[in-house]
Amino acid sequence: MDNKNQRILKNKKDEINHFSEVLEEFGEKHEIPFKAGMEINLAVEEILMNIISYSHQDVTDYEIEVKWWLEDNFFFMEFIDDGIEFDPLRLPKPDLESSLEDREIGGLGIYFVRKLMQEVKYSRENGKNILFLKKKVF
Amino acid sequence: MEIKQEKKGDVAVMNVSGRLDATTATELEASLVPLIEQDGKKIILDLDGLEYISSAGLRILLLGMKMMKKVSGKMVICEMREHIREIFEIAGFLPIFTIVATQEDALAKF
Repeated sequence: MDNKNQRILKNKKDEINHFSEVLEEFGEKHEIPFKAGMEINLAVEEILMNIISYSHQDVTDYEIEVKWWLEDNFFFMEFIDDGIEFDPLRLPKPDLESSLEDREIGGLGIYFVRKLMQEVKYSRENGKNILFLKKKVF
Repeated sequence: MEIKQEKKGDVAVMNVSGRLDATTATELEASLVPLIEQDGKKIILDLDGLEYISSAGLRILLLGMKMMKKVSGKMVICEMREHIREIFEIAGFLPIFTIVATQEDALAKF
């Protein structure tokens, strides 16, 4: 489809910042409501941090392709990287109930993604990880 | 993100505004940890200006709460915006933090 936006990001934290500004502009241009925009922003940060942390253990510099678009009342996004096979949806559910002393934060990021998006799908195709998001915005 | 600190009596008030994300979380850690270590028995975190928080930011707040518990101190969060509160709720953070509406309410907790 030719209405898709596309960017190639480097595996650096700074790139997440820059990209969140790109998405904010996109949100403003298309009048995505504030709350939905914030939730997309959060999901994108958590996913990119995950890819940066886990995807390539062997090389220091690599690229992550992102594509995003609006269709009907939904925002869609795809993250594509050629790192080791990693399905974030298989991460265990985070600890949401233990006491302060025992509480650990692991897995919370991807849990946010699952809770805030209408749909999240992982696939492995041609040696690439593809994570797909669908979020109702209107 | 911007961090401002002031003292109200013997209570340290830390105002955190802007974005608390994977990049800025380390800045908060660098301010909050020394504050707790130095004289951090009574701390208010005023989140009035906080627009955004991710798991990286929550990690530092959890770290802070754990440190406070160890020194038998008290940390109260106030002026939290509704969409930030929802993130706390999803994270299961509401029961482990002391959260009140206003800074006045927070001061009354000490």
